[in-house]
Amino acid sequence: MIQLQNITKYYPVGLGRNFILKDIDLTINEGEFVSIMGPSGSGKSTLLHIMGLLEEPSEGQYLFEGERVDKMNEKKRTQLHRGSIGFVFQAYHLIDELTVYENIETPLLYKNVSASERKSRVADVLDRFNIVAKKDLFPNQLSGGQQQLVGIARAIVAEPRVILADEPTGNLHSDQAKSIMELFKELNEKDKITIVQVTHSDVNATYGNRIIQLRDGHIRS
Amino acid sequence: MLKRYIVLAFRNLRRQRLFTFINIAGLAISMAVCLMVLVSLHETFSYDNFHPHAGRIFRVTTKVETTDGRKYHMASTPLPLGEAINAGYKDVEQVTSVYSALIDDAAANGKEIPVRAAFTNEAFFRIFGFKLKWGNANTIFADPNSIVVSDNLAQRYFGAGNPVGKVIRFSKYGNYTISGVLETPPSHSHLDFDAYASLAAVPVLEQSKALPQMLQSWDQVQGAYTYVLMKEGKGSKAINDLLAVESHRYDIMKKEKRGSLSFASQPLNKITPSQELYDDITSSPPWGKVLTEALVALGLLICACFNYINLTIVRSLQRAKEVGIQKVNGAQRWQIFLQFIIESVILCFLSFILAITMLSIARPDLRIWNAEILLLFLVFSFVTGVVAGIIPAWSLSSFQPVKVLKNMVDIKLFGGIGLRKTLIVIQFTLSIASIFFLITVARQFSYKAVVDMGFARKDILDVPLEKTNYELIKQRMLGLKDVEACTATSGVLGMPRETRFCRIRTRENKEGIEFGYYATDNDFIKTMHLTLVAGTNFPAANTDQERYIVINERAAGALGNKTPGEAIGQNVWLNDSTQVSIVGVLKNFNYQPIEVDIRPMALRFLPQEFTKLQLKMAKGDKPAQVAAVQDIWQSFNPGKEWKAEWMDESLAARNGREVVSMLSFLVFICTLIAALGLLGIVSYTSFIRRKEISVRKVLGADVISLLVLLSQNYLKLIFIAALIAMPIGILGSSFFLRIFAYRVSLGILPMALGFLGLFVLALITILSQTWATVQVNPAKNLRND
Repeated sequence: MIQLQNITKYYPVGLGRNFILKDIDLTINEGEFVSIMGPSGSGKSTLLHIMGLLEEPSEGQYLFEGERVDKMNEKKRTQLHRGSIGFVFQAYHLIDELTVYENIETPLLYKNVSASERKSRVADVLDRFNIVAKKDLFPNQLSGGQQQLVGIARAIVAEPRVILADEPTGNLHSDQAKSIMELFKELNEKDKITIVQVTHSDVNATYGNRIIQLRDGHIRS
Repeated sequence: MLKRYIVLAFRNLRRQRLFTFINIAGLAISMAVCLMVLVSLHETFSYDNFHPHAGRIFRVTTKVETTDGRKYHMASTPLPLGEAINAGYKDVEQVTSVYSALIDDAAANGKEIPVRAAFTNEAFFRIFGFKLKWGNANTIFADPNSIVVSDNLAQRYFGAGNPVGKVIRFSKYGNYTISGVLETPPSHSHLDFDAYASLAAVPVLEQSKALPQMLQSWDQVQGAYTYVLMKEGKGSKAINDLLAVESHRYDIMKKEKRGSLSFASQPLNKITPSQELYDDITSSPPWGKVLTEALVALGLLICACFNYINLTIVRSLQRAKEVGIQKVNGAQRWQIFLQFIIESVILCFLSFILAITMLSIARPDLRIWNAEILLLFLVFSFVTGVVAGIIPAWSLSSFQPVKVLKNMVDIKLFGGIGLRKTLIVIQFTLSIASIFFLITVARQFSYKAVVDMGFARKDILDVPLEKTNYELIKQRMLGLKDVEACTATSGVLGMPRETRFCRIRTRENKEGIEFGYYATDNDFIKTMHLTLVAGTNFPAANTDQERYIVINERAAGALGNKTPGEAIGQNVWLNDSTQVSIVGVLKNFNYQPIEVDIRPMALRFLPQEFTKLQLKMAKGDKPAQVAAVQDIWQSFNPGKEWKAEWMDESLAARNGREVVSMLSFLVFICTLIAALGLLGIVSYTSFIRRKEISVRKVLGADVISLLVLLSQNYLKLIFIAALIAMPIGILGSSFFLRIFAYRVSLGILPMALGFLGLFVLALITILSQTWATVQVNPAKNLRND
């Protein structure tokens, strides 16, 4: 599903280059639940961003479902965001001015889903995550765990094939973290969604079926 | 989708109260000004929009070149031109002349009212779209002494009801029978006479010398206007061709080098706004004024838009996250762009509502509740929203999600600080330059109000003379114990356009010199406290024949005398006919407003030109004095409307108070908008820099150094604006002062004080925001991160 070949990312610093990622070769198959681990500054987030098309690699090839996407233009990339990739962030990144319901609805709006279908799909997700009662609240009225729940609901409402999660439990205490991770596991097993998460926590990493260790821009396996 | 944009816009506006307030207040104030201008523009451009054949109607104008080479473009033509065109051209459907000569007080139904009427013919009603409320258009001028009056005039004379058949009496021009009443037209017209009488009445009036000889005169261009309705399909080319033929009448004149005349045409829709032709009749504002108004209003609006642009860009740090999330969720750039445009349009609509509310409270007389105008306003605020929103929307929609979501601090704002600084500098430059200009204008006008023009103005009552014998009424007035002196005159000193002109010729100087003059009796010098430097006043017992004149020093010099004394006894000819001798020379004084230099002038004894009595009153109970004078005046003029003015008040009324208050208003708004913008910017940047301030505080910075740190950039901008504004303000002020022959110097000190005032205002604005930032407990900002 995701094939990275010789992916390198660097920033020019003075006359030289500062390498974030170097020669990453990585294949993630459909249905996998992969955890990327490593110390701060090892390039985990950058790797995730490249997978999510938020950043472009400096060198190397990236094939998403067999299609080369590393040099895609912004429009095609946006199409992929809409259809295939869902994001979950450490800081939740909900829109403060929108209610829970509206936040979840947002990706469908951009996907031009009809109003009636939007309604039923958002209702389904709210129901499944047990947050129907909270649908008219604003993000700042929710606890961190609840906000992340909404963040995940928003990520899956457009039915993506991959969820990329950047330290999804980094801001949560352990009880909340546990329920979020169980939710990921369920999504992976029941809905067959491929999940790639970046995490610091060994406990969280065990929920996945593969762990990739990153250090100084290299994969150590 | 649209609903979502609107919801987002409203929630954002509600959350950012200060931002919303500054923008809506600034936009609403400048929009209110724009709307006022829009109403007046709408009115200006709706002149004469009710004539069914408007596209085929032309006014003939005359280009005159005098013998000394001066050129005039006159709106009027020789009176016989209309008849000549009517007689000879197949492309012409109808021609009418409008001869504006019937202007006098007229009596009917026991009331005497000043009437401004013109002579015309029946074609007038076939060319123009004026409709008759009463009367038959085809037989309207069947009787040569018939007159069609406006609805307004009819109501003033007779109230409601049909006045057809009633008679209006002009003392000088005879009786006229009302044959019709015009409906009030749906919009303004440049033809706004109170009444139209039949042109057939003119020959008799010319014979009786009530009117000058114009009917057959091809070289007098004054007061007569010719309108032509061309046949279907014949446009300006056809009329210009026939006017070229008519212009050949003046070939001889050209050959003999007596100047020249030629005709041109002006389509009806080009008559308003006025092109400032000479002798025009339109009451519409001239193009210059229309454009100035529009420019000022647009300038204010642009300043308010600058605020929106600046504040939105600064605030974009807070919106960046939202944009990043939207993009990660699949939003394309144009969708984000659209969202911000919609937000600014909504803001403009809110401002628009506020502007309309303010206007309908402040100017309830303004006719804004009109579908067409409201629609215009709506379109206008929509366009404003789009224009104001484009730059911020472009800037915000360009954010790369990964940068925004990763690290909010190093976002590079569009145009960076340069753009924002430029906009602030432009706003303050405008504000400071207009303050400088205002100060000069106010100083000049206050100088004008108090300057000693060389004649008395206190306690002098100006009373119209009407047609009474001046000696009789003067004797009665002098009988009042409070009247210290009394004089009859043709005009009030110091008022514009009250001077009359004649040509004075001496034995040596055959060409002559143009003189201003006032027709006065021999009490004028005493009443006005004028000073004779040589010779004497008119003799007390003056005969009907004009024999003596009094001139001023400037005139004595112009007539070739080295000292005023030399002029005494000199014989001169007035207008080539009257021989008079100079009996006195007056010290120079400003008989005209101080815009004009003192020129040669004379006092002449011409009782037939007296129009006013000027009474010098003793100090005392003013209303009682006026009542006593009115009693006598009313006994001479029964039934007439009494209007008297105190000379000092009527002179003071011309001190430009309106101009100054209008300018102050504009300066106030301009400064207010700039200050609001500054407030917003400082508030947001202080907010953004609060962490830096906290760090500095922890490291030991004191309050003063932090205030300086936060404020210095903005103060620098204001100084830069002042530097740019100074030459603009000084240049504008000098141009303004050049209008006046007697003027104040360019006051650098008052301007500096004006700038200081603005500077203090800006300082308070800045401190109001930075003070709180500096006071805050650093632990609070550093902990929550």
